[in-house]
Amino acid sequence: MPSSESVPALPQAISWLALGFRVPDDWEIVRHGIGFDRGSLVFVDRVRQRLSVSWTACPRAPNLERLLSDFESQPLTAGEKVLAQSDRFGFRVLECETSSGGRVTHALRFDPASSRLIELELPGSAEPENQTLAGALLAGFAFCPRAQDRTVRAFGVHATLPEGFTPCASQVKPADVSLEFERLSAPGERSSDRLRIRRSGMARAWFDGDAARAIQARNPELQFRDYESRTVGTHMATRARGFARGALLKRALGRATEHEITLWECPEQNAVFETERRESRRIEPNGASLRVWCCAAASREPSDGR
Amino acid sequence: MVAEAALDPMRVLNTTPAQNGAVRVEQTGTGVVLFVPVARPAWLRALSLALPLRREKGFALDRLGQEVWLACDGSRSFGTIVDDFAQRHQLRFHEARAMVAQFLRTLAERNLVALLVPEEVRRA
Repeated sequence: MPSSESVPALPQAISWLALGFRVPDDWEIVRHGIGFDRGSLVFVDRVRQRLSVSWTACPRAPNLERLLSDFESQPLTAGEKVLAQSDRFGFRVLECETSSGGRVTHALRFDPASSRLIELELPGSAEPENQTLAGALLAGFAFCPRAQDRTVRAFGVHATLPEGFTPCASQVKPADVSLEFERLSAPGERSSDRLRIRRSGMARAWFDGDAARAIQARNPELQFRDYESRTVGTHMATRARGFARGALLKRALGRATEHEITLWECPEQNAVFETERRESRRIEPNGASLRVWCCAAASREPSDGR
Repeated sequence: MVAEAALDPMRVLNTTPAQNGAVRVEQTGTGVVLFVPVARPAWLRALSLALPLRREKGFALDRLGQEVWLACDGSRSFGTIVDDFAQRHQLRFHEARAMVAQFLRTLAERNLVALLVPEEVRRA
């Protein structure tokens, strides 16, 4: 099938580890990797798995023909039958039939921008809608080099990170998502510069509007010395700065890590957003900033989802 | 003993939670308290006539718990309750499903609700 085929745009934009794509609105991430070199994102709809996106770092461009040959023979061993092969939107696509009569679409592509091999698996049926959906998914894929990867869009969080940050930890619970990023330093070294974005849903059920108290309650290990009000889009936010409790000597020597926490409620999303910057040196008020787009009123959302 | 086969996701979503008719409900300022009769063996029932053993166990529900409890009216499926909960609190489907499922499991363990899987509904 030619890559110029017309496909419908999918509504939900995902940006994760230099991969950008779109999926249907009712698909949700149930498994995710945070490593740039190897990992996957698995999506489900209400009842079953719909998509798996896997990536593997390849320092040099792999021999794609050989990979594809292995890839094509692999399903056969698992009881799958290759029905068709095609090139769609830069992906090599294999339509397979499983031993139970179902269909699986495998798509493979090497992304030279991030030096990774990207593999997609779409379990589905032989219905034409499924083919259209696969086309729309593949058409929506965008890649960027690791150094330019600054957008995060997943789990209801949409943010633009300052340059050089990459995911280092995540905690995804129902209605409470926390994503942590660290600044990439020299190879083999860890950096103490961290960012954290936390999105807590069901705000009307638990948030009483006292942001300062919420900041203190959610970060009991920190001692805050000043609070200030600021705006995030159309929302009033509270920003607090502080240090870890008991770090008196470190603070006296100027070696303590400063934490800056900003918290606001987004009534449109019924959620409370909290961001934290942690830097080994004093945080510059006008330094490169983290931007979180919580709702239409607060965002200048890029139309292409990146 | 043969392990029970896992329910497929569609059957889980079509399961209907229904309140235990023997539960007594008391309104409080912040929510409700559900009182469920304590089941005892016959010999202990006889003994309870003489001893002051409690006849009910009480479970307090907050506003969210009350919301789910009231939704368990025997006519709405688990999937419908989850959809309503997700819409009301602006949650994603799986977020709402995890929260409602955990709460319903607690209610079921305490005999406050019965979960009617589709086949059982057909037999009834």
